[in-house]
Amino acid sequence: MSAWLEIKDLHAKVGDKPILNGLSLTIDAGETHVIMGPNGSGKSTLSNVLCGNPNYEVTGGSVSFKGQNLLEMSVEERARAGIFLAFQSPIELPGVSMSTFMKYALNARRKAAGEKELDAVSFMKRIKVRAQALDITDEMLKRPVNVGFSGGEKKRLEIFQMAVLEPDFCILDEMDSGMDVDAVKVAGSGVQIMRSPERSFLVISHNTKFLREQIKPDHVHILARGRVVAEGGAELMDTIDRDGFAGFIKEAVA
Amino acid sequence: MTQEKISAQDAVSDTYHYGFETQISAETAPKGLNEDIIRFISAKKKEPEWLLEFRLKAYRHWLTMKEPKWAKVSYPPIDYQDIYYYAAPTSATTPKSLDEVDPELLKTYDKLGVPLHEREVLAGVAVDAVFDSVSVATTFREKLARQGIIFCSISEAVQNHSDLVQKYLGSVVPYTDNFFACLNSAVFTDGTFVYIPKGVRCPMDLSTYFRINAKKSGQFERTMIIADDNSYVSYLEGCTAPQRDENQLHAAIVEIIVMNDAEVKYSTVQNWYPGDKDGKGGIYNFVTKRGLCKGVNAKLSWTQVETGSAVTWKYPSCVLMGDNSRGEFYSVAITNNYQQADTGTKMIHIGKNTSSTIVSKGISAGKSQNTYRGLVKMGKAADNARNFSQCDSLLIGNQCGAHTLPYMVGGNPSASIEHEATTSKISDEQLFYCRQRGLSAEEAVSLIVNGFCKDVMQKLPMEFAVEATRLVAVTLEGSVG
Amino acid sequence: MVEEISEITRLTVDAGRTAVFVEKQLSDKAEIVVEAGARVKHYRLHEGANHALSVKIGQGASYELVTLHKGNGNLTLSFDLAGEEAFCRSDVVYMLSGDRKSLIASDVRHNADNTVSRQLVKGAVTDKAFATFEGGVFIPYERKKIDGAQQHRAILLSPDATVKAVPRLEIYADDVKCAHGSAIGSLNKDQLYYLRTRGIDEADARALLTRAFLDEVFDSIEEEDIREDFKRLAVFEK
Repeated sequence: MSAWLEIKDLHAKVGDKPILNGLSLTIDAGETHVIMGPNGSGKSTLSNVLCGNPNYEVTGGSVSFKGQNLLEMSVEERARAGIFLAFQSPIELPGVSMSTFMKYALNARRKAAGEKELDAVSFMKRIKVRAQALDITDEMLKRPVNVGFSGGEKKRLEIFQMAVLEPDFCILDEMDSGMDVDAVKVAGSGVQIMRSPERSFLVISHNTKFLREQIKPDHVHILARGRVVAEGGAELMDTIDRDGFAGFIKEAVA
Repeated sequence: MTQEKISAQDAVSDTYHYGFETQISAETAPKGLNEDIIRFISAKKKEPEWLLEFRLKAYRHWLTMKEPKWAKVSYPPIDYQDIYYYAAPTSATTPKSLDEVDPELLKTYDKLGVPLHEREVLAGVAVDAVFDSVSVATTFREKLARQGIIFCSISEAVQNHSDLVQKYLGSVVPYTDNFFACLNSAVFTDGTFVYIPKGVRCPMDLSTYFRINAKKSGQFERTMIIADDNSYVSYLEGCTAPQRDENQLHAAIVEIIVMNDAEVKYSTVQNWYPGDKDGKGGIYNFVTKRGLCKGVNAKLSWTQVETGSAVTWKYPSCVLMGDNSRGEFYSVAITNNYQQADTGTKMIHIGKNTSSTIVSKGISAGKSQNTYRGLVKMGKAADNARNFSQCDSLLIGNQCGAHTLPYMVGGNPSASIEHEATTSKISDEQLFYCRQRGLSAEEAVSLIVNGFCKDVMQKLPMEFAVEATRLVAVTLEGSVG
Repeated sequence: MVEEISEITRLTVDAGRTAVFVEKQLSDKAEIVVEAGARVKHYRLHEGANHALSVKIGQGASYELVTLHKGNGNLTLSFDLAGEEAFCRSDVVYMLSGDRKSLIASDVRHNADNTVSRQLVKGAVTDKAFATFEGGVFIPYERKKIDGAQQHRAILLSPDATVKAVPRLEIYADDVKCAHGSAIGSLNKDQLYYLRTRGIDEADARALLTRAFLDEVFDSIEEEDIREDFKRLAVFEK
């Protein structure tokens, strides 16, 4: 019986450049994991590879998610299976309103699951409740996706999408970057509300203050040169705060 | 054998040049065009002498004209003597029931949610009873007549409102205008006539959706809309499901006259048969549409969503003659497979303080070619006239083409012309973002394209907009791997 | 170093070379080849009758042109971005007066991948002059990562002046970012009014604003002497 999410000896490259060099990681249902590491260590690559971004090529290893071979699935199949990525730089979709976008996304999932499309009233209700909790106005839902929003607003809207779609596995890529203190709190509370024994989180961040106060992880992994070089509990963040990544990078080379 | 063929062709060209006497029998004129055919059409329709003269003058002029070659489209030569100009016969290819209709087409109807009884009409099944029961015209005509609105076929208008037709026919698009308009002037057999009297606001959107299709007389349509002082009408043309039609050439004319303080909105969702995936078949849609804002404060707005035709050649235009008159053109043109579209508008500013807005969104996919062609002209007297144009092109795949060919003439220092254009593609990042949220690649493309067209779609009447959105998805099917 | 040259007919700028040319007298027809990696700035201050300039830009090379045109003939510019990562900038100022009729044609062909073009054409037309601008951007089949931009702005300074603009974008590839704009208008009335409230008479105010409109092009010239020469020469011909 494999774990809930099991990444084994994963190798991946962008163009000709290998980024992940034998990364292994296991996450169980209901857990919150944090990935830290210096720039270029492969953090964002990992999140893109897990979601199937076609710009990244997997050259070895395996990923299983709830018993399925994730690497054989298309981007949208993975999404429909419950994987969600909160993008570090959310993409603009001119002319497409957030509510239309969410309607398409929800119905695509429901169709894949053999369920009926959500009626307009239930859809609006679902949207409104989650919008309120994250301080998102009706006007923001009518505006085109990520067009003309501040960095912080975009990130908040990523959390909003996560709340609407209710995925099983949430990857947050540098969610706290570009956000002010209040926005980080709102987003953090959004994550906390969504915690459940069936849902897991993988959070990529440099910001130990944010991680301690808002994320409260169960496990911390340190990435260097495309591999996990150290694992532990929340206390590992203290080492980072004190000594930085230098020690870990040395281990990666060795 | 070869010898025989050549002489047969010679015979045809004799007919063409010298007005060979044609034996005309009963209801149907034979293939081909000459003065006798035109006399036959006119007689069959019991037309007044002036109209026959109009047709003959047009025909004689047409003989001196050449088919235009400047558009960025290519197609095999059209044999004008191989076309039926009257009572296009219910040919052997007309299906007897839906069982005989191309299953691909039926699948498309399914996707668009076209009701069953309408499918038969659209597919060209010969079932007149169905048509009659859904005729928009008959249902509302009486109600409209009470307000003095005339809404009928142009043939009826010739009989019952001859003076109005005579006054305006060819006043906006003269028969000398261009090759196809000239041909239409000689042989038009049907179309719509609308007159809105002074001070009347037409209480409903007028549409010829069913009438035209059932009679299969769309080949050389002629539409006239006259909006008298201070009146308003919204007119919907076309249908929102793909049509099966064996006709190759559609050369229609739309003439609109807008008087003082009047407003006309003309919306088209056009999806004539575009040909198959290999570019076989499909309609050549060569249409001249033009409106004259004759009065002060007149307003004319064209909105078109073009998803069909193998070849489209179409430039709905506004002649802004009245002071303060306003012209608008909102267009979405989508081409896929081997489709070719050369479409745009002309805004001719003559009066003072006239203004015009052009918003054009072109989407090319497959191996198609999509061209925006537009003219904006500021006349010497067009003081303080204003134009703004935004032309955006979106490319899907690397086998297609997108071309932007505006033409601007500024002749008045107080007038201004502003044109902006962009060309781009759907980015890999956008596709990935949408797919990460669970959308398939096709759904993502359709969503992004609809977003790209939003400014135009919003101008369509509600029920049209919903179906136009679905049409976008259907048209772009198979455009992403 | 700035080099002064006259009447170029054929000129090849060797690979890797950096050059600044000021062309004093123009020939009818000039061909320039900018070889791989060369960087050329080319300034044309004067004009004769009709002249055509065609430039071929090689791999990684850069060619930047500023030219002043007063409509005593036609101006035909064509640029062939022939090598990958070639760059081309073409800045044109035209000033037409009297009863001059002139065609200003500028064509850019992106014949290689990763090429970038920038065209800026600004014109001022007065009296009974008639200017026609034809600007083409052509991206052939299968080209990748193309970035092309073209801007044309013209002002009419008299009721009898005419400007015709015919941009032409022909794009046969999808991996492109292309934008063009064209505007024909006049001097800003609010600005004119503002200057007049400060006691500047209308003729001076118009001259000042026309100047400011055209200077956008000249102000991007790095070489101070050349910049000032352009500004001095940028007046309507009698």
